[in-house]
Amino acid sequence: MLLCNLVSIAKRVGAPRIVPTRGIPYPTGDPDLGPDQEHAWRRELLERALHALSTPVTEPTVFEGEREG
Amino acid sequence: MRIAHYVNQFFAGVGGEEEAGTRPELRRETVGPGKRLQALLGEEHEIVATIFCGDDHAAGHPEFAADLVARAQDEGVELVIAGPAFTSGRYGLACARVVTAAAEAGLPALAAMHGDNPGVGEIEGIPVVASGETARTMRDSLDRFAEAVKKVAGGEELTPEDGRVNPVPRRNRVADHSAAQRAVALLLARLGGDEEATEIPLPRFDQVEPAAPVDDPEQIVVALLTEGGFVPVGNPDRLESSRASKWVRYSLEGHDSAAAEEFESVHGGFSTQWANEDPNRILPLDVARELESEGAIGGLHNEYFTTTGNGTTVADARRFGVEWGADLHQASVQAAILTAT
Amino acid sequence: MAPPEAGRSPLSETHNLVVEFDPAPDAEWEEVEAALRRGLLHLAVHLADAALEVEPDAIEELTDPAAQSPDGLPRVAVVTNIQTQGRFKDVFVYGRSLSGGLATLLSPNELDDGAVVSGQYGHPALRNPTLLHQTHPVVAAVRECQDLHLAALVLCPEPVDQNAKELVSAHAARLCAAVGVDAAILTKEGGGNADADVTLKMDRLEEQGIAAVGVLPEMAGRDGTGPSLVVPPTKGVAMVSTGNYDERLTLPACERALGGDQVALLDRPATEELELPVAVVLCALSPLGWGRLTCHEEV
Repeated sequence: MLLCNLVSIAKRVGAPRIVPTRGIPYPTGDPDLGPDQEHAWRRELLERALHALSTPVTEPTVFEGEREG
Repeated sequence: MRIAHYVNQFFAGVGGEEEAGTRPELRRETVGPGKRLQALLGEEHEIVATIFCGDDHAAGHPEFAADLVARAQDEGVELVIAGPAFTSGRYGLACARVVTAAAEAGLPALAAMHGDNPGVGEIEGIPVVASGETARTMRDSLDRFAEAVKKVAGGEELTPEDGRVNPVPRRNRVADHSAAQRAVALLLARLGGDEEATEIPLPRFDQVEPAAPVDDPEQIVVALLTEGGFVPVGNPDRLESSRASKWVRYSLEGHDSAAAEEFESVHGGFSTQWANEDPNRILPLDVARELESEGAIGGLHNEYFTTTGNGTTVADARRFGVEWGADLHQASVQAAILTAT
Repeated sequence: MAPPEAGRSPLSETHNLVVEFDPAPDAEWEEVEAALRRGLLHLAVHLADAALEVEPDAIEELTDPAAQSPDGLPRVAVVTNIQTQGRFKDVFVYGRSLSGGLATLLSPNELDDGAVVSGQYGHPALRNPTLLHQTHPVVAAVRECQDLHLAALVLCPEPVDQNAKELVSAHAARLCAAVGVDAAILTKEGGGNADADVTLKMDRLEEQGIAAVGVLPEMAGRDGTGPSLVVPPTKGVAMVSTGNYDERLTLPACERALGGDQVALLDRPATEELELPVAVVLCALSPLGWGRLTCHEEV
């Protein structure tokens, strides 16, 4: 599965499982957050990644978080 | 033009599946489909050598192709053609390797196979002309092949009208006017009602077959991968910062987090200031270790793979992907998390 | 540059001054960059001073774009995306980065006055040096065209995240609509993801009924058969190609190389014959449309 920010590209090239992130230079981070918050955000991304890996898909599918969803 | 024609062991008349281990060979005559092809080509072009190899041998020994091409060059061959391979996968792959080796040796080359033959995807920049699905279409397939051979021998580029199944290469040329002036001309055409005019036709992209989901993440080994140019500090293998030609692997043993004094990003496509403050922003090792110790995943693969996805060609990226897939499969890794910048 | 590949970069047709520099051993690269950028501007002033008293070769009078077009000519905006992706990847508008901001409207004449200064060092072939912002080739080409009226210049950041790219693109299109343009030409700076900053705007502009033309380099692979664009437009169609980034060219050996002795990563003397992708030739694929390179299927 793919953790990336440029979701439109990922969909276009056919990546099956996509979790959107917050910026090109920091796929599993967010420098605007404090250290604890950033760590929690990274944890949320990986948990969502595991959820994506456990989910059947037939086409490029974006796994949004509840907050963003 | 002096031509070498590649066929597999079956069309060389050596035998079927039982002879698939046949070693590469060159004969100074037309063999099998080459006979009719020669008749169609007329007197201007001569198939001076038939080169062949068993499909299994060709699949397992990629060097057979360069070997055959070198031997053909000793015969003064100026053009290498291969097929038609129809939908036969191993034969198509062998044809792909032969024409690729020919191109690398500086010879023009051409292959014939069905558009669905996996060999088509292995050929870059060398024309592939369509054949039917099976040898029953041999007659039509050879007619088209012969016309294509004549065109390639004449130094012309094959087009979809000739039955070309792979994309026509786009090449750089110096235009009469600057891109800025051409943009103005294109805008005038657009305002004049031309809705189609463009210098860049819309590209086609690959389709990817999604992998089946994992049953239970707690039972599986997960690998971390990244195209973020993510390397140990000092970049020991000199991974490129753009247009990467390779990927590299590094051990994660003994690392509980991606520490700034141990890892860095050398990606040239964005500012690495944030990645290098906290490399876990590119490779989420700290959280992956947490998940591992909590048992949320069965284990973390003990190495990660990385390349730099910055101006990397699709062809190279595809190769990295195939190699990563094969490598992880071999290591019984069942899932991978790839971070992309 | 020497022939035969000379035509590949427009810099082969200009007189170029190459500045070589040695950073102090303990200097941070950020400081080196800032010093270099200021130093080059001082040098430019110095050179301009020397030319001040000389009879000009040509005089061009630039008028401010009026609200109404003369004779009802189509009103054209030039939309120029400016790289805003952090240290060494930033361009300055009146000394400030547009990072985090929105599209901004300028009179094109402000470019001639030096409003935009580059601090961007990625992708040599895709770089827009300060000189080219000041002599913006697309702005110049629209000015020269008798059938179009240059109505506006819109500068936009190239954000590092998808949502911001979409926001900036939608906003830029509305800005163009608000100033009543009929058509727009779009340019970018930098590699892959910056395609989206052009093509998203093409789509948003076309939705506003504004004809859009994108100026884009291609990344079609070494053999020219890969997908040309990372993010193709879905509504816009009209694009000008500034050439394929991945195609290789051979630079012949030369007697003297300026700017350094070695070619980085190749580990080869700069004076040797070198096979390189067009990507490393400065300005060869100028995203501001300076060069004459294009790319097409050979049929």
